[in-house]
Amino acid sequence: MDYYPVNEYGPIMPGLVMAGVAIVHVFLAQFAVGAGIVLCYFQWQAMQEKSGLGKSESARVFIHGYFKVLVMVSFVLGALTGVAIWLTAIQVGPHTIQLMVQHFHWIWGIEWTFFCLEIVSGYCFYRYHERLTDREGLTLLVIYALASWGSLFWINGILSWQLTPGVWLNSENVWDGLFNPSFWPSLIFRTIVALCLASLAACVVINLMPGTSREVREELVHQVAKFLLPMAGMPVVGIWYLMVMPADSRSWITGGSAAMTLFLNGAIAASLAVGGYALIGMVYQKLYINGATATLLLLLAFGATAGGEFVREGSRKPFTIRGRMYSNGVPMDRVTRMRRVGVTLEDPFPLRRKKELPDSQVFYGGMTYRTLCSSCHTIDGMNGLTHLIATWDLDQMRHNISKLQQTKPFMPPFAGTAKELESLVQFLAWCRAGRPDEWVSDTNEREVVKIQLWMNEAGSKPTIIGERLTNSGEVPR
Amino acid sequence: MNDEILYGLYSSSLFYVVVYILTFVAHFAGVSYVVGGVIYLAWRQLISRQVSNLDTGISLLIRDWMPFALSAAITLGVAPLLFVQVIYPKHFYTGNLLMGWRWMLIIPALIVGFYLLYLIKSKFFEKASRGPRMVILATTSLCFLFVGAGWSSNHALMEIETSWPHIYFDISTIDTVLPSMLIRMAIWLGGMLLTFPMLIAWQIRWTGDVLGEEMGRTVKGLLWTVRSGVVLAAIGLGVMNLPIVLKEWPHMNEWLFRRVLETSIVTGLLYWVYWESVRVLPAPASRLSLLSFVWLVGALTGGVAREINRIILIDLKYNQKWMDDAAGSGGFWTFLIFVAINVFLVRYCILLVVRRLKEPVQR
Repeated sequence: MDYYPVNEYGPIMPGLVMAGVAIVHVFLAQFAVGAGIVLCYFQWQAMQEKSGLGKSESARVFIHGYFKVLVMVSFVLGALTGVAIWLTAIQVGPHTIQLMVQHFHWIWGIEWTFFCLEIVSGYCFYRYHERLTDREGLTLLVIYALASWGSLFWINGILSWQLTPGVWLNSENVWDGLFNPSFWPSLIFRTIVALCLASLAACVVINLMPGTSREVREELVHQVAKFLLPMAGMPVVGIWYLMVMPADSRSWITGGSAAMTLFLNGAIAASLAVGGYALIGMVYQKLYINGATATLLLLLAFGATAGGEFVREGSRKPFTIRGRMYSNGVPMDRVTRMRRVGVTLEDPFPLRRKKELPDSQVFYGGMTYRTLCSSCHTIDGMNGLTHLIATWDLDQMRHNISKLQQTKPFMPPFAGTAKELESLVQFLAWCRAGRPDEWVSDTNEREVVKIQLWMNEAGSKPTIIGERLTNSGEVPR
Repeated sequence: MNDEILYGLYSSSLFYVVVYILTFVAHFAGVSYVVGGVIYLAWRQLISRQVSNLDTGISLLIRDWMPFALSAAITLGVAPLLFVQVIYPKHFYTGNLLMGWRWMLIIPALIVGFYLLYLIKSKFFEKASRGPRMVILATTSLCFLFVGAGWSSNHALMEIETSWPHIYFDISTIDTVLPSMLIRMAIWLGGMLLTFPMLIAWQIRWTGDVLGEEMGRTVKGLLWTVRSGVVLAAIGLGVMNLPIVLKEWPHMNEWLFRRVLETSIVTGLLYWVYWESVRVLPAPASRLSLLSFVWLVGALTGGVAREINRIILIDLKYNQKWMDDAAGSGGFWTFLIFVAINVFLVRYCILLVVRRLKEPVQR
């Protein structure tokens, strides 16, 4: 395993840094996907001489304004937050992104070709649509819509593979990985979300269109509300996604983990609020929606997106790539070796706060924490270890960390030596005590022997609720 | 594993290096338009007392197209970003991590720079006085120079593996890469200022007569841009003590490296000589094509020299098994199919617009 420098983010856990960037990008990217489809519809409407929108030219005005928002928001922020995700992923999980790049770089390359098409078709329309015929404009919009949905198609495969790699674990075939068990429900769900976001954003834009009458805005809102109809299918697709999730992941988000369950319920509640208002109010009752309400619904949709993405990421635990790599970047098949060799021996990077540490035991504990724990935890900030072990005595800490995957099934097995585990215990105890200058580690060889026995009892495999493991520790489907 | 081909490269790694260089040169062209454009506008506004100086001719063209050019540059940059991670994962990621927040600031800088390009394109900019215009142009330039400095620092860090633990322990020592970064920046900036006039020359050719009375001034301005590029690149190479380095660094005496580096320098000089002879724009397509060919040879050989230098300093043999596995990962032929399809569709979109512009719709 390559060792990488580890950066800290103060009290913020690295996963949250990643989540923040990812949520913004997903929101903007899915908006762009849905917007392409909405724009195609309105362009087609503008070409219908007998329709209200066709006669009033209001569809064209809407298209112009909406595409401007798309360019200014999605083409800039959407694109750059996409790059930001990559750079952030390197910061918080270099081992994960390295493995993903190794296996899926040509799939990413395919997605890249769709980006190129998206940008060219989008700018061609944006700059020149007023000089094109309606048919030519529609052609460009259809190409744009297909390109943006196409990019979603490929990245969805890579992201869903992390949770449900399926038969890829045995075959390592890129197509097995791409078309994994959760690929289709995830793709359909994201497409529905894309249409919803685009529709709500369109309602905001419609209310900002200058010089349009209430009558025209009503007609536009009623037309764009049609794209909220697919939300009726979200519960079915959502249940489908839940059913293809691994049993343990499903258990986290349905009560096993309070945080995950809360986020899922929050996402569902927000989606119900948006969907209920949309389907009953906007579609059935044909209610008009003003700018403030549209903005509120869009913010609710953002909240639902955020909750959903958080749940998707968190439900992978203890893995970052199921059956292959744990959340801390440790490959599953290296744990046995690392328990023999240790994680500190081969780590070339010194501790930054070396001078503050009172003794060598605490020093090695700090290094062990950095390699095995810091990707998901802080010391005393968010998800801080000193909070989690606040009431544990030293023996409890030794026992619980030795059998970490049994203490909490969404935790990986401890991947260091027994001595390193003891060092970690001393390090955490020292941190919990307020990092005093004077400190004597309370340890002896008997503790290390006990730890080794506990580690042997727990084994080096994860605890997967509801599934058997193969002899190699891989999770079969 | 196949036999080593050269510089520790095997067939799989050599393939990825070639793909990386090709995609990087495409990205470099896009970046050159933006960086060259901002610097060109800033310089024009600085030396002119007339506020309206940027509202006509190629200045107007540049202001209009820079946002799209940046979009194109960012999109084209995704491919080399992907392949650099295939070839040098450990070194690239470590460089990222050592730079930490300095690296992550690249994204906000790009976001600010992007929106400033839209501001430069806007009516607000047209109505602004000289002072605010200079502030906007200077800030935009700084944003992109910061991004370039970040990438150059990362590259420099990649090449000093033995210093990583020390830099990690005492992050202030990251300044050791500052001289290397500045040298690279000088060479890069020189290359961008050399590239930018060629792109503008093609744009003038495609757009038609946008210069009018400004042709003489435009030709002079682009020529001085080229000259500035030559000077900057020469300073960068000179500060490296290139003549001494050519004698002292062992790999500098490698036959292939020397030929590639010399070709890049010679094509750069030929390119400069051509520009000294330009009197009229738009230039004939045949001359522009020859110029572009010279540029392409220079850019590709420069890219090759850069990679040979990096490969020798990094020694990719540690990564060979990983790269062999990556080469066997699948999806390459499907990638090629989609390249063909989407290139066709890109061309279709462009031709659709071009045809319509030549035959406007009667409304």
